[in-house]
Amino acid sequence: MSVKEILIPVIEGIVRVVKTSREAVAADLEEIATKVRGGALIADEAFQRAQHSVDRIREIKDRLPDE
Amino acid sequence: MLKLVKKALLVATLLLGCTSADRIRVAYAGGATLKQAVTDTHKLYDDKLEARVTECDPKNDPKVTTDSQLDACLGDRFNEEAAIRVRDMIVAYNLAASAFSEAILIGAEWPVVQQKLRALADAAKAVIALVPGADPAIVDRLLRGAL
Repeated sequence: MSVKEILIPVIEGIVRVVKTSREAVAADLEEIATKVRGGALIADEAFQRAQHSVDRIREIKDRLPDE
Repeated sequence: MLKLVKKALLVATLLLGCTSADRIRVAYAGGATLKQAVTDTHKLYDDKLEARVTECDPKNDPKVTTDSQLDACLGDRFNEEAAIRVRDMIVAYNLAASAFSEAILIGAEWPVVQQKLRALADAAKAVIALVPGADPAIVDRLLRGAL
């Protein structure tokens, strides 16, 4: 067997493996993208909750007379 | 002998191809677990803050008659300055989380994803450190194996 006859199937095998891995990663990324979109909503909620706490304190201070 | 070489080459390629993707998947899972921990910890802070604010409200505590008395009643961990600090750390954490997720989405290589995960871990520790009773060391435990 020549070196070429050995290497070509190996290289073809490598290409197949890389393609399959990339397809699997692409499918995972689509799933992650969906979760990231959901995550953006959660981030906004977290900020709103945190700001609400600050606003609560300021609302009380607004009611108090100036020092 | 040649068959062995062929097999070894194929296995090496499989390992090379899979290792990076697996690390990123593990990192993503770690990031998701961390997000839950930060969300839960922030809620814990928020509940405590709400209770303290209600307690110190002049409607419930007639001794509080000025802004400084309100801040003193709330204490260092729950006064206005502290609440603003927590809010800002939450924003910083969420920015780090977006950067981390984006790195994965665009198919960044492992070293970049790892760097973003480290930044995310630091941001998470900064939030958790502000919450009375919460231990930032939990971040390292949750990300064990991911970093």
